[in-house]
Amino acid sequence: MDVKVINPFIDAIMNIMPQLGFQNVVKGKLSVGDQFVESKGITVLVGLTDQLRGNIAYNFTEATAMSIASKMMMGMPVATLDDLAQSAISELTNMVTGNAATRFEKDGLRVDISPPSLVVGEKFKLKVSGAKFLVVEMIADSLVIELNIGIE
Amino acid sequence: MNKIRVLIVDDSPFSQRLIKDALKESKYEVCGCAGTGNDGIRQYRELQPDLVTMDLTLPDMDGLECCRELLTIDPAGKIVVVSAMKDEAIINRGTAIGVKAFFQKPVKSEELLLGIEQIIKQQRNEAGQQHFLEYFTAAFTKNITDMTGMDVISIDHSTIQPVVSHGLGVIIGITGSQQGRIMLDVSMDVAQEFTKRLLRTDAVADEDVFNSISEFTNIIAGHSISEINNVLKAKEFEIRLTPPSIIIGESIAIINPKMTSNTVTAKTAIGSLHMNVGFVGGK
Repeated sequence: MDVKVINPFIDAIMNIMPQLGFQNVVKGKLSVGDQFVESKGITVLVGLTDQLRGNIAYNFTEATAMSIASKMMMGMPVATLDDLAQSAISELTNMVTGNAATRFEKDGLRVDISPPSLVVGEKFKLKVSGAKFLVVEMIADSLVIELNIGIE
Repeated sequence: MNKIRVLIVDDSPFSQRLIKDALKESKYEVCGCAGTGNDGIRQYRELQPDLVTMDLTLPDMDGLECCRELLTIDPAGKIVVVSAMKDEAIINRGTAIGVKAFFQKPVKSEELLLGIEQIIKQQRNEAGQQHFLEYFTAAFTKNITDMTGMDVISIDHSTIQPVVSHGLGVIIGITGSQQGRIMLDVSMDVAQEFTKRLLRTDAVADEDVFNSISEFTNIIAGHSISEINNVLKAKEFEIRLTPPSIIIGESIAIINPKMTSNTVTAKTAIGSLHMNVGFVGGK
């Protein structure tokens, strides 16, 4: 898998998070994952198809997901990951993946994305496309979003 | 058909008038006009409109804040923003809250009507998608029997949300003219027994189980989508699938906030297999 596939996702996050009220968005660790993505508690899956096929797993702790949702809803307190907060987190992954898809398209790769599936639980793991996948951490105002990118 | 009832939240009488004029067509009825956010919230509770048009600059609060309040009252509410400002940041912030569409003032009547029409159509489309489930159910039961030789003893339907996994779930995204997902879900025990029958062997490794159950799901999804594409015919209505991803763990919930989904449970000699199919409305 070409490491370059992560760039449109990084650019998408760098572009979108500030619009949602985050001030300092930086790239964290980059690594290669093998076999399973261990969930941090909240994992959102978005599928890609057409000229690029694969799956992205956005991984958050519950506390991070709630902080992000709160910021997205203009500071509304979020004490539990309720319907509105779930919807905000799903929408965030939808926007980021959609924005990345547009960037791929500019580079001549048609990409179509699926609606996000939010997976919530205490202990679970996931398999994205391919045994090896790319892991990149993005840090927005000290909140860590881990992207696991598996391309066929 | 009942009229589509619209509440206008806008502090400018001039803009209220323009929107009213745009919605003059017989299928719409402007049921209320509010000049402030608080009045909008009060009228929303009272009138329960089908759709709200929202200005972003209100005298007492930010329009997006008002949208958020309305969607807290009614998460299924349909709100479109009609405002002088329309930039990427507003669209992203609004979409994050749950706003359906954005229009820039002065809004052209045809543009607003077309946009609202699409939002309402999406809602009706959900009813049409119900019968897609038949194709999935047919492919599900047929392939259980064809691929393992087992009979399906009984079929049950459920709409319980959220979907809670039994141990191993395979998710395949649906995209194209219809957006959704299919998920096949089984306990690890059933997954192992099922894989033994699929591969006609007595011993299977975990890797075999993951691969077999994901391929089985892929086949069901592929067959169902092919049938549906045959019915939809035109290329522009084509539906496509994303590759499978697998979730392993117990008591985990799979949530798609905008989706209503149906679970079909097939009982077999080795236990139950659950297939969940949901759509979020057309593009």
